[in-house]
Amino acid sequence: MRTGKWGKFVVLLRMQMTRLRTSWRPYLIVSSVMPLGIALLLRAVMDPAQVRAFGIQIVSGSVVLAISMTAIVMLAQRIASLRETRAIDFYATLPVSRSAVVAAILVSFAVFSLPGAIVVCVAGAALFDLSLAALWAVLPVWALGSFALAGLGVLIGFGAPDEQLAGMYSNLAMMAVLFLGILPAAKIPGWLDPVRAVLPSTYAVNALKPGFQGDPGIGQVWDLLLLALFGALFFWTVRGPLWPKDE
Amino acid sequence: MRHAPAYEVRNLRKTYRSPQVVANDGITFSVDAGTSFGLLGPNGAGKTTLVRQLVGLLTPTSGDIRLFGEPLPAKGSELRIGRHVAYLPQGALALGELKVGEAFRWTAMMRGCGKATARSESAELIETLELGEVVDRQLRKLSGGQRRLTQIGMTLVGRLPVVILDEPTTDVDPALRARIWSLLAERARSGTAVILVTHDVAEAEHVLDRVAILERGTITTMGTPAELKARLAHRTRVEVVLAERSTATTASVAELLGADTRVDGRRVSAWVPADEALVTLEKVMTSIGADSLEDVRLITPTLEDVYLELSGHRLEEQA
Repeated sequence: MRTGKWGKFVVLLRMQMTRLRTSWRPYLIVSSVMPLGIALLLRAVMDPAQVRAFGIQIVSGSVVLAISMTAIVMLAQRIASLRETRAIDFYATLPVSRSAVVAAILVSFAVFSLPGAIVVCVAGAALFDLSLAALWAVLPVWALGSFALAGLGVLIGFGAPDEQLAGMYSNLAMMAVLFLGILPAAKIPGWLDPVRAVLPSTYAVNALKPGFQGDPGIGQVWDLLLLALFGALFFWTVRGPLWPKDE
Repeated sequence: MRHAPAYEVRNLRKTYRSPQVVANDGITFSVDAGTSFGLLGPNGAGKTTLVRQLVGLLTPTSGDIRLFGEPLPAKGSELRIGRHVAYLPQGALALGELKVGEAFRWTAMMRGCGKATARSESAELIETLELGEVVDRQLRKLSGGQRRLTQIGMTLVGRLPVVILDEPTTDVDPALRARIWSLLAERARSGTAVILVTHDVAEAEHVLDRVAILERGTITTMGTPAELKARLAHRTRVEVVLAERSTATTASVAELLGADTRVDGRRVSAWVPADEALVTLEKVMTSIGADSLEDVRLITPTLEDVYLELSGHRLEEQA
């Protein structure tokens, strides 16, 4: 019996997942240390009266930052490295579609971001005395948020001219996620609103907040739909126009 | 369309935009199923650019490439190329965390083989390439040679009708190199079209049915190794090595051998007309004295000689 399309995708995904053999520690450490450190710092300098008001925003922003560290920064650098060393040629010459290759890479890095997101979620909730009763509500946000953010990571990885610039661009994107995600909207200058609007992390943070309030519900659906839309848009861009061809 | 040549290339031209370089110009050749074809030439001759167009990684500026009669590139041609052509690039491995066995099996499955076929083909290739001891080792932990062998195995697994290998035996020891050559020759005999890019003239001579020599993006000559060597059949190289204690000088030997003499330490050689080779050698031995000579040889042209004659390059200097 021959291996069909779905079987090939599963093999591609398993290939990507083998990175966990050597890289699970860096993925976990990189994605959890910085967001947790920032949450801890803000908690330490915060007036106790403000904890309730800003805790949900800070923890939600930190969880999304944890996802971004893997899904944007590490993924963008990985893709750029594959391009620079021409290792991407291996995939490009297999009888599998570009969509399958991009989807497998994207899904694998979304998975890699999960442990960091959970660690930050649980520790952040404990730090700011938030409810974990609706922890399950984090899962759809993680799934669609990491899909959208990994899409951005792949976009940067394919679009940047080299690995160094991919690192720089992805770190800039991560900084935007950090400031625009952790700071409450009211504290952000109005001229940054367009940037917030085009960053998928904004909608991931919005979708996370009701869960920490112990009140997840239909209000999240709009943000989740937007995340799915961002993911689909990035996916379409990288499987077509941005697929590498050194002309 | 399987009766059509595996590849037909006509008037292919590739110009890079930045910096503007004509990498291939007027390239025309065809490769039939069941034959091996080689692209031989120095670095920068345009060999890799050419094969990257054959596998759809680059788009030609102009010209025509046909794979089993169907034009490339065309809509959906990436998948079609992948179904027919296995390509070994010069570049790095995509996934160092894969184990050798997985790399073979999963590549075979990606080429459409079922699990059982993938397993049996992988086992066979792993044995042939002597990778049994490292079958459970991650690729990043292999030596350079073992990694290259694994890449070759990943190219051959799945038995696609065309294999293209870009300098496959770099970093491979001579014994295994010979084994790879025989594996490629066997594949060609069993109906696969083998296209080989190489610097190595010995490789070209051992493996290939036909050779094209590329120089600055164009094919300067093409034919079977025997046909190419026949171009120099009218000449024989006389090679003389002076004994360590010889009183004769290399200059005096060179003078006896005539024009275009090459001197390398105590070794002096020159091309002479084939029918004059014995007479020339006799003249040297008589003049210098047999006791002053450590070694004398009459050498018929090799493919390397043809290459040097045609291009004026020394391959090993280019590598």
